[in-house]
Amino acid sequence: MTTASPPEFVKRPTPVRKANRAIDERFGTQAGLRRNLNKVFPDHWSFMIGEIALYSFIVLLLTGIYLTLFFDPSNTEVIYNGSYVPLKGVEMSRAYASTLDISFDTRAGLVFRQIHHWAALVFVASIVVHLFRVFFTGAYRKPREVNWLIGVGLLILAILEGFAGYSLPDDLLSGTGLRIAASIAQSIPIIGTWASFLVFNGEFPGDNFLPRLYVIHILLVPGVLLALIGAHMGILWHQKHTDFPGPGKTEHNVVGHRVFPVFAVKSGGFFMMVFAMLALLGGLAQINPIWMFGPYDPSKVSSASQPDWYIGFLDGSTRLMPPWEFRGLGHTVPAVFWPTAVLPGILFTLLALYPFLEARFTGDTKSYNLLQRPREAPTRTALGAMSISFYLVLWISGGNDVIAKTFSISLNAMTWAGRIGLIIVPPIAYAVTKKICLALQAKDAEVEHHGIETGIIRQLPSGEFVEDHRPKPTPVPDHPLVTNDRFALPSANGHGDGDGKGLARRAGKAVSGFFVEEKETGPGGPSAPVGGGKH
Amino acid sequence: MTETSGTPSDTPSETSSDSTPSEVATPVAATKRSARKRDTSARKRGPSARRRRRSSALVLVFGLLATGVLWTMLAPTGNAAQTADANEAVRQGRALYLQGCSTCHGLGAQGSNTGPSLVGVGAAAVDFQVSTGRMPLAAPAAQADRKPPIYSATQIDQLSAYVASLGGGPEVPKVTDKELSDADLAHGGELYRANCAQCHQAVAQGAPLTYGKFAPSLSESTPTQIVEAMRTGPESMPVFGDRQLNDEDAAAVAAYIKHLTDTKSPGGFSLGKYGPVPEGLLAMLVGIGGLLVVCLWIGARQKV
Amino acid sequence: MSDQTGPGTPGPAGSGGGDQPGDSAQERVHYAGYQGEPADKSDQDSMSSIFKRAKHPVDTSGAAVGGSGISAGGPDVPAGTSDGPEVLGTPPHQTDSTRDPETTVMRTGDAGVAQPTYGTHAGGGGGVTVRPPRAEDVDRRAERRAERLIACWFLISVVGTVGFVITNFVGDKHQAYYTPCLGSALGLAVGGLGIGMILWAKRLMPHEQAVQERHEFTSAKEEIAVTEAEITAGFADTGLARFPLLRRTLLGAGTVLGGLIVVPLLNLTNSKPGKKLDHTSWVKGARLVTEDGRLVKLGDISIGGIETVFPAIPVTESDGTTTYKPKTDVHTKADSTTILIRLPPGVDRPRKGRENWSVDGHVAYSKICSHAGCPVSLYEQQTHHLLCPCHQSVFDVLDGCRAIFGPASRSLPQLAIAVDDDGFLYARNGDYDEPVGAAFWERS
Repeated sequence: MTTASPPEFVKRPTPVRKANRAIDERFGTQAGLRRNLNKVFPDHWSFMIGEIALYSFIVLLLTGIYLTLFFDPSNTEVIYNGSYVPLKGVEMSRAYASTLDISFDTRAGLVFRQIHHWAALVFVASIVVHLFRVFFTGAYRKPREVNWLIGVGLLILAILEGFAGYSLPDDLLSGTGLRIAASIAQSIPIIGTWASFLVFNGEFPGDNFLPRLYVIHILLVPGVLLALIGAHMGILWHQKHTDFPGPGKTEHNVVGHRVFPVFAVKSGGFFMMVFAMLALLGGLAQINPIWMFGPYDPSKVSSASQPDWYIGFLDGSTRLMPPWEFRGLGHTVPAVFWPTAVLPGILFTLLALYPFLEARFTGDTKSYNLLQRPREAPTRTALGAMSISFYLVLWISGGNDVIAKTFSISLNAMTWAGRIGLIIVPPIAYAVTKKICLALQAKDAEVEHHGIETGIIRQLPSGEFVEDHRPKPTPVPDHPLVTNDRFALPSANGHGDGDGKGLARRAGKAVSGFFVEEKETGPGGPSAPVGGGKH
Repeated sequence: MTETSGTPSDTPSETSSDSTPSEVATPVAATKRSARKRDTSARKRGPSARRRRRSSALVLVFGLLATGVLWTMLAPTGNAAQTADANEAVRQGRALYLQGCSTCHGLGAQGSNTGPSLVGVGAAAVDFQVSTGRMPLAAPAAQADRKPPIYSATQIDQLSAYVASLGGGPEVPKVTDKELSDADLAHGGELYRANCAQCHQAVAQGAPLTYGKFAPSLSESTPTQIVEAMRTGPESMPVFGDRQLNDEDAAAVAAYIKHLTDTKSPGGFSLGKYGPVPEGLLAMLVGIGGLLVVCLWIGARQKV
Repeated sequence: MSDQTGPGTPGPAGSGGGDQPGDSAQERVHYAGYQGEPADKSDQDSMSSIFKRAKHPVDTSGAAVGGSGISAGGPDVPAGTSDGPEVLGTPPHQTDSTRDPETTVMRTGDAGVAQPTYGTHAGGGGGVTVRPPRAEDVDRRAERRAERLIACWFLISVVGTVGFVITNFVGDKHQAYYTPCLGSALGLAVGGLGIGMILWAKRLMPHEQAVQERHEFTSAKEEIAVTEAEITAGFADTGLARFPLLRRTLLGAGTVLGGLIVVPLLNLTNSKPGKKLDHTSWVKGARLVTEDGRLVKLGDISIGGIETVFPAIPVTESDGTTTYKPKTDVHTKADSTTILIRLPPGVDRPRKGRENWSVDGHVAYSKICSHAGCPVSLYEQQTHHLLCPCHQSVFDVLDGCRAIFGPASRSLPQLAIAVDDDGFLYARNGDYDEPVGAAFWERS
């Protein structure tokens, strides 16, 4: 072991070095800079899902700034006189008229409006997928519960922010959504009427509500989002990223690429890719064509009025809700209150509290930096599958009229299917998922005890055919054992496919790497354990 | 405006009704029903209305004969017509009717338990139903769907003439290209959103109603068919008479619908013009799906 | 091996107790060839195909086998190891000066450096293995090809940017091609850069497996003790424990001040709810008027027809005549929108006390859904059902618009109408006799 001699202090600095020294003289940055540039991030593909959310948020900020330059969030009624002929001479709010102007009379207005909308859909979707990854791998466990809470807060805020944006153009679709929102606010017991009047500045549609919504959309919520994203990433940075178990990976280290240069360049490239995907969607796929919906008018409606996808589950729960309205003592608790206020309240509370509930029920208060595979926590995985199936039934029901139309199914049948499905599908999902997890565990245990199937069939002298089993290799001594109570698992799909050449092949391997933290080797090749169990 | 039974004719009349009692409602009932209908619709009667009794009676006699034979036998009986062209159309239409429609609507168009009476529905209804291929019905369902028409334009005109000759009902509206191009699109749009969008969806792509019924997409509808539907209220659709929407309004609505369905989308692929549901699906499948593929690519092992 | 020491510790000791790095290669080879199976053929093949074009002769025998044999990593920690000057514990010269003390970096090796063996590093990496070399690491032509490919993507990005600028300024923004072209160009501009950057990082940047030690978050007991003691002392200095009056008034003042937040909330509106939700703009004698200002006369609507109507308020002019002013502003529409339906004669089954609320089959109901306030207007003229498009509540018009399906539980309120001598329909009793729209707490 030799140690390289320290580099010399360069006497005649280049401009970059000069700048570095100028900053250092004032802030003393060198040690911290070096530490952060050398920070290690594990580079499993699934750790980049959260980055999609971050980058689409940046795209939202960029395109949003462009849109604010042209958008006029005013309820004032005007007569449209822009270049979209079928609305010429129609009375509408300035908000709607300026959205039309952005779409038809502003250079690059429509493309940035569409990118903005697509980015919003992808933003919330990536948060949800990121949440799945964090949940099913147990990444939220101590010491990361706070980041989980912040993440849940971000999800809720993202949904609110999206709904506010969807409502701003004051078209027929978004106005219908606001009307329902007002009815929901109105349905809250005791304070409902006041809440609705305070939010909307009077009885719906209120006075000058859009400027208020605009401030919420471009200042209040984005500000909080930005702060929470900062906290989320700051905590991540400080606590360091979790990682899947693997050779050399322990609870006490991180293995991967350093921030500078590889991780930074890859992440920068990924930001560009996210931006490119959103730009392509924004240019090639039309979204929210408000000019076809017409200006909002409380007396008009279009069938198949839907919210954007992230509100869809609430729309679905509202559609499935039986007409149970509680009346008595001169008061009413409307049916709309339960599926739109109580249900999401319960769902998000359970979501937020899950790490604490799990720790309480399992009695596990240890800190973890290594992730679990879904099968290693069957109950959690089954609970997750149950929740997702519950959510999916609601979500599908939110679009049940479109499904009914597309597949020629009776709307009423869809509603009933949703009502029944909501009750029976989640328990089935729970039971099936748990069974699968346990079966996979059993298979792992069998491999542990009887070895790996080799695919070699031999005929014994007695005439009997047997398949050779190769014992699972014992942990290689120079692999540090991972301090984690887990099976040492050989490859689940032992028939390795070698080193693929095509993208699909390598992607497939990366996917399987999500579930099986091992590298497949050649056919019949040996598989090493994950870390090294005690087995 | 009285409903009279057949005048002297060359075919046996009422007496034959007992030959197929199960298929035909009593003429009296049909008469009453159609009379009521006619009160509310334009009062108009073809010159051949009286002959309806005769023809239906004739059909009752030969109800079980092959329709081709029927036509050859019926054709000469129309010679008594006074206005040659119209009567010729009516006669041909009746033949077509007997061949293709009478099974459900009854031999005298008085309706049966499988099909409504056509007395008084008017030419517009026939033109709409047949030219959109909804009639003849392929199979019983909650609602007839659009399909390629079976009859040629001439045949449809003949069928319409025949049913119009049974009495009443709106005529086939004439929507000319000039009317369409002169129409006030913005006005049409206002009317469309006020009266049509709630069922047919803001972009005229259709939407479901209760229990399997639905408001169809208007993408393939011709302006004439759109106005016909407004005037006649086919199936679940409400009627929009000319005192609610005059001909100019109706043409404007049709022009707006055609603008919605035929104009190229300025923002790229229109995703079926069905709003947030397909948009959400695309965001999931292409947006998130595509970016996950990029993740996999970045995270994939190096080719060696 | 929980007692493994930090990766920064050089030397065999750093790999954790009991590890015997020196023997590992042989052991792995042994396992790979267990029971005489053919060794990992595919890996060997792929490796050798590269090494045929190697910049430097490399002995691959055993190495590749060993590399794949021990492989157990995820996609990011594949098997195959490397050695060279930049051995773990002997930090590579180019990273030495910038290396964080607790970060250990292992690399496949730089171009120009021979890769004699592929043993496992035993240093601070603690068993972490490094990927086998890429084509670019050993083949200069492959390296050049990769460089050209990346440069090509960067140039595509330039083309996209130029295309965006040209489309933006030269394109006709009223044409259907404008937005798709802008989006595609922008996608090319950023996507080309993105693909190029990712390729650059994947193909040309040195592969490394950096290992960084994690901090223990829990502080030392002494540290905790000192901190708690200091805070306790500081709190004692404030005197909050000694002066209860100070403490209580401070708490009280804080609470009261916190309550101040209610004030701006209540200031959000000057419009108090009061009984506003109970009333609409309908008054006695108001005529039914359509959106475009046409007063509805008996017979305007065909049987099976519908019309959306609003109130036209009677105003007595100075000369004694009465004119009707249509109220179709957005606030009126929000609660007074009414759907007028003409039913066939004799099918309506009016409720008790509402027998004379309809005229010749014309019935008028609130169009605002009693569930969530959407306009209920999908009228099926054969079944006489009204469907709400938002949450699919169904109302039976013949039965007083009773809710028969979906989440709505209340009937739609009915407006009593009559016809005057001139044939105009008007509201005979004035306003609805119950609140329209979604229910609320104060509603009985």
